[in-house]
Amino acid sequence: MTENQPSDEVAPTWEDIARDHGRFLYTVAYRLTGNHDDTQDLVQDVLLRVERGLVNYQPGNLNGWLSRITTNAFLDNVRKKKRRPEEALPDEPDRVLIGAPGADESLDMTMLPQHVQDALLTLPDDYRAAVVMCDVVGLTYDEISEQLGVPVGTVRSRIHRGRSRLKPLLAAEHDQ
Amino acid sequence: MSDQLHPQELLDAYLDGELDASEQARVDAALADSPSLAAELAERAVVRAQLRDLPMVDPPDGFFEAMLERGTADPAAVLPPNVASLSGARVAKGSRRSLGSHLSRAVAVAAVFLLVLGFGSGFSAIERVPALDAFANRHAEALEAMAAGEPDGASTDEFHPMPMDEVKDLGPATMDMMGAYENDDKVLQLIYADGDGGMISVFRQDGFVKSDDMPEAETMEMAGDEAWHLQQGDFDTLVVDRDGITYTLMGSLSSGPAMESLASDLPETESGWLDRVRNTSRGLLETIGLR
Repeated sequence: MTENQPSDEVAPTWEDIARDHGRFLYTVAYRLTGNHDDTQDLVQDVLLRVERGLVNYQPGNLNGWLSRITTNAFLDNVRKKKRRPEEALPDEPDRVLIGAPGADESLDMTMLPQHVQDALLTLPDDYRAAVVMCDVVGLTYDEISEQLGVPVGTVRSRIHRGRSRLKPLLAAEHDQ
Repeated sequence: MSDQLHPQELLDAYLDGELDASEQARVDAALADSPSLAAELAERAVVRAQLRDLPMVDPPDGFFEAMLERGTADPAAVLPPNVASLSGARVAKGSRRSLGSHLSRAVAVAAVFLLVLGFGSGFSAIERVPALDAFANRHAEALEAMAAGEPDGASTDEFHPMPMDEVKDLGPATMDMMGAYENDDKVLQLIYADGDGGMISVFRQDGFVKSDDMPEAETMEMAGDEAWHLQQGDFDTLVVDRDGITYTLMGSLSSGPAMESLASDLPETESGWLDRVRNTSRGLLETIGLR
């Protein structure tokens, strides 16, 4: 699902991004969070950031820019949760998720690669972010380095360690 | 550095085509000599392929359509103005899952209730976005005054000078505190110079960082705390959140001719600036006890 697109000449609108790149955003967010509730939270957070940040967007690798915002938002949320307890308003006990997939539908959507997704979720957040940016988004180590603000050597190390942890989990499934 | 790595540690970068020629040759040679390393490479290739074969994930029906219909990703946009003015993140958190007007109304009612009663510790923590535009203007103003050798000129109607002996010097030994100022919002600005044309302003204010409004900032960890790096105008900017206090560091390291000369010699100018700011920031953080 690697998608590298040529430079856009015209900056997209927020609606363009939600309509044309929403599925890409949703996929990256789902690979990072591993469940639909958190994915929907994250995507909405990302689109809010995109909406505010579009004025500063320089046409270029749009998917790279979106994945950067998604990963930063994901890591922000993870650190925020670690730093202080959730202060959200209480959830509505009878809330209805509009358009949320039913259990069967959800299973259909992700059953095939579920073991891969489950394995991804065992990784520490920083490793998972690097692996997702490399293998799901398709960024180079240099691009990941720039987007995460860490040296290329750190990216290399996180991807190596991340895949090392995945190997025993995925190899076992693959052999079956 | 990578010359010291065992070829096994280079296998993933090898698969990704991310090794330089000498590293690649070293791995090739090791693979030719070691069947176990070749087997390891094959296993890693399987893992990599499984990750890359993951399919796209479809959002639930109507997920994006609801936002498009609303014309914004911000759930607060459908709330009454007095509620929308509350922290967007908190209001959004409760309503963001459904995107439905039914839940938004429920959240709105709950929020108004809490607002009227002044109830609920969840709203007590201040969360703010540093006023980066204003800080950048202020830093530029101070820079100009310092460059002209007139530190007193950095005083303005907004930022009043503080007696230097009443302010704790936060800086490292390698930097001199040139001035301390405070505005009516109790934002403290300390100005440091490295004697080599580089200047840094440290803005200190109460409150957690609300990073949602810094979408392009790179998130990083600094001394175990959250930090965000971004370019604000001409200045490298680092925002650090520590126990409810926000420190915004702005580096004007490119301001002096000496620093420009140094920058032009750096192989990677951008990361050079960032490293410089980071290193200086580490010193500051160490001195003020954040490390």
